[in-house]
Amino acid sequence: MQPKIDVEGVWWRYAEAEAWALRDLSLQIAPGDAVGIVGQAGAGKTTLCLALAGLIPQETEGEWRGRVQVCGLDTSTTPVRQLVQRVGLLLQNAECYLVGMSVLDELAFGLENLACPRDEMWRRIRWALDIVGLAGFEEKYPQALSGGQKQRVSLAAVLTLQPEVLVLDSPFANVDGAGRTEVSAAIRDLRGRLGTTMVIVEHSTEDLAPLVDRMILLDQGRLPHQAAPRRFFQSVELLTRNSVCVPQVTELGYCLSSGRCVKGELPISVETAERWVRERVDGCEPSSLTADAGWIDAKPTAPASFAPVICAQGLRYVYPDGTVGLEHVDLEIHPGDYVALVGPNGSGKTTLAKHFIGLIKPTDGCVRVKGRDTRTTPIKELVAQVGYVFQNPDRQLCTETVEEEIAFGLQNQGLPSGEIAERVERTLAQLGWARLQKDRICTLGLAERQCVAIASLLVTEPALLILDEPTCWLDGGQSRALMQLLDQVNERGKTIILITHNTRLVADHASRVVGLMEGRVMLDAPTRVALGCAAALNELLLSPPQVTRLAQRLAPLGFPPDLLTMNEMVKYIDGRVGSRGRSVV
Amino acid sequence: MSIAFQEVEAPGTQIWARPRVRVNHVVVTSFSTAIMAILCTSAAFLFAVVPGLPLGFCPAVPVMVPLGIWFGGWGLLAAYVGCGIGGLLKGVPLALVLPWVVNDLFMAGIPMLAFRFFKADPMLKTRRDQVIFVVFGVVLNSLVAVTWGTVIPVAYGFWPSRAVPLIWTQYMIASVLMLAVITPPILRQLTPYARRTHAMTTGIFV
Amino acid sequence: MTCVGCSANHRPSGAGGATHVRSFLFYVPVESPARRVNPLTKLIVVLLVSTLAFAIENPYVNVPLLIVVCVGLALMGISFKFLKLVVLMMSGLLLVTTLAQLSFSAIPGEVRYITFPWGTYVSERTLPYILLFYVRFLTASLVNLLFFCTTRESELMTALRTVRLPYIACFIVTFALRVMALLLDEWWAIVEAQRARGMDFQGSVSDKLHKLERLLVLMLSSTFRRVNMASYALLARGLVIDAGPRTQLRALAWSRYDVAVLVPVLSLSVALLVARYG
Repeated sequence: MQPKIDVEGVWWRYAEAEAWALRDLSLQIAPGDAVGIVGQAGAGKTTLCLALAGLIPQETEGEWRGRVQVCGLDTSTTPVRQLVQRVGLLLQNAECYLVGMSVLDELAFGLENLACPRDEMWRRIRWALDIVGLAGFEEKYPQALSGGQKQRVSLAAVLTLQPEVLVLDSPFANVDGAGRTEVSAAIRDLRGRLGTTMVIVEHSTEDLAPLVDRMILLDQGRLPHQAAPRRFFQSVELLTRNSVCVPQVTELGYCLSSGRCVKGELPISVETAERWVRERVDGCEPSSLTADAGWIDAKPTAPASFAPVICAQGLRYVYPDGTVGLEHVDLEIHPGDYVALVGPNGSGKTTLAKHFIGLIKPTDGCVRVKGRDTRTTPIKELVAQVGYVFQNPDRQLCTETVEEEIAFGLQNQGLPSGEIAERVERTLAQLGWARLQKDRICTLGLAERQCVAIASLLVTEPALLILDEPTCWLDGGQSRALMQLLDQVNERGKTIILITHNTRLVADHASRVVGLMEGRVMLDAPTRVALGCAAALNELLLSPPQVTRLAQRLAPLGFPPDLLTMNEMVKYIDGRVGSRGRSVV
Repeated sequence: MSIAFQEVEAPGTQIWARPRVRVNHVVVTSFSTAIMAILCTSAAFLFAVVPGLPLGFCPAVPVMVPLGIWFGGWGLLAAYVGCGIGGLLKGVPLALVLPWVVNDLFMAGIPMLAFRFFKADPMLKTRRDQVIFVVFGVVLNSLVAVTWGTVIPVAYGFWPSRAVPLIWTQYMIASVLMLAVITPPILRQLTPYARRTHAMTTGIFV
Repeated sequence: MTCVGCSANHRPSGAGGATHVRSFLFYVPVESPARRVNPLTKLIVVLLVSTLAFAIENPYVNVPLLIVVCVGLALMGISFKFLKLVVLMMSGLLLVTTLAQLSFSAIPGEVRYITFPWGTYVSERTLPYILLFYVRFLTASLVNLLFFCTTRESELMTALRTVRLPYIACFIVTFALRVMALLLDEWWAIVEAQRARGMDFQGSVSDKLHKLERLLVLMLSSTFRRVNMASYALLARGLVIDAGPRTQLRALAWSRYDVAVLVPVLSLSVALLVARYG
């Protein structure tokens, strides 16, 4: 059978770039197959997507060699207008480029470009909306929809062109838990009903693996590894080196069996991990290690006797349009706390965090930052105590070089230039970034710019650091490096508030979880307690990390159900298997 | 399945670089138009230098000159349409907006033509480039644009003709100040970003 | 926060952006007679009425014209809260105009209340003249709303294409209006992020200009970063510069409502202009 997608010996280099983005890449995808593509930032994933749609090389300047054929058409010579009817491309952040003021206009845009007759347009639009489960949404304003709905509108807009191949670039990016479920279901439904050939690029392997038949690793434009998901994740070292997020249970299996004779495959899901662990601990007595003595990774919490850094009392906030954003929030955060602020999109996390820096004033109640009422204290004085890192660091970085950027906040405080220079050098040295001092910010990657944004706030020595989804746009390796930096900052006594959807991050780093739902605090507990409370997490549309879910499933075997991290699970199993020796593992 | 790689340069590659009107030009024009409209409305209130008189310091002015220099005719189109939309959103009647906003064509068009004629570098690296910018991008364009922008409302009966010298002077000072202080850093810092849009033109539309 | 551009009060969503529920053209989604009128007809009416408002300086014409426009707005179901916003936006311009007329006009009259050293004066006819100017200006501005509150962007596209403007020009205008919402969010997010770094917008003219420069650099760099991906996204939906004929989902044909509106407006405009200039 002729492959639907045939990539043969493709080389591509962007104009003015030194490195090749794609290097001698060859790949074949059969009709009806779904392939997932993973890799670190800059590996060439989006470039490959553009090449499959013919936008590289036809609409991009650069150097090209090789051949890409999709549905029998050569993508470098077939007009793009013809190709888009065969290859549907959905780019990252597609909701930012919605062109219509209604869902109907949005879906009609592509069909109008292709001179589709009006009756046919209506038929295809209704069909596409039905496929993605948005029938009845025709007159809705796209930007007012939820993240998952917007993504489905973007998908429907591509489907109206009735392509035979779908290329999706990061369909789950910046979408919360509920939205991911919607998008997953839509993609699964699409495959089931239409048998469309799919190529999906995604950082989140947990969402990607169940949807695809084969996974591909891209590394600097090359294809070093591809296999069905079960076999793909066995190469833990290779994947970790390429900053791919390996399922936590797979990492667990790898840790437990590294350097030893491995019997059987590593697990890739909680269900297979349960069977895997059961086989290995079968016959072992429950661990003699107690929680205090053994496996627990203690995360110190600040004594409540210290005066709080943040104190919110009866906080209520109402938006100008009358919507209640926060309702009766009472919250104290103490020095040294590492708090994870969680909840679905629209629950009020960012609204609450903005109160802490005075960007928003309460409608009722009060917020005090180190004893100072935010209603009466100027923002300029509050920022000396609170550093706020926005999701997009580019909104904060406003100077040319790293050195100038880090000095900026101190200049706003009116400090003398000698002291500014000294503090900048000290901060860069502490963070190990002295080599970046004179670099231009526009030459830095996103992860580095994120770190510069954090450094520019750390230099002002705030008591509290608030980070809004800092790992949202980073790959696995970059996220790890950033979180290690934050751990070091917390160890030096800084209070951290982390707004995130990622429960694994919460489990690995935070000491306390505050959960918001529809503007109310519905959960405020130490991490271990919070992530063990299934009912609360369900309401917050979150699920515990894989390791915790695994421990809960293994509770009948005596496993503590509140195991949080992979480290704890390894220590517990080690302690349990102990006397039998680990060779059997 | 892991494969070891040997680095081999690709021989016989094709170069794809055709100067033509592209979708990038359309997109950059749309985005620039939107920015112009925003700067004419929302941003203007942020910097009401003289209370109740946002007319003098319009944040769109120091941006439209670089747009013309970078994107040629597309930048001019963005300046005209964007400031027109901004004017409409501020309640200025359509019949007045259409001729009045022609002043923005002069404001952006004169430096655009000068930079192309004299082949000046938008990053203003040499003294020659800086002089060309000051003469055509600060002084001459302000003279023409401000004159037009003052005369049209007089023709529509907004202002008596005797008020022209005062209003013209105020407009002129504001325009020269903004162009001299704000536009050069914008050109220096953002020309690399503008290049990466692949929409910069050496001619008028290509 | 009231979004100045689209008059919608919107709140930030959890994903970090604002949730707009209205279009940028103040579009009001109610059923009204105006919906049945072709947008090109509305555009012609707007142009004619605003031209009349400036061409004719006669209270017996201008005042009834303003009343007709206000009645038209009420019939279209357009709330008068928009008028507050429009007046607010116009306030600076009107203030300058008032000061200029008071200080620099010389409207002949029987009594001169104030005489200025430069030869102009305030007479008993100056204030009525200014008031009449307000009436004319309000007429011309409010008639804009008649169009923008009842027309979607896609209908604007239809109107522009009807006058044979190239598709790409029409697309630029309508896409810009669509993108304004996105970029306005970005602008306020940048302002907020800079406030969170201690930037305030006080100080001397020089300070303010330097701060404005920072904001503009951030705004433009953020926008330019999006251009390539936005271009790819549009190309992937079949947009090509010189692609030939296109179809339209929504087509608005000429109807008897257009005739009923255009004929009297055109006739009246011609008559008044002939009377004024003939």
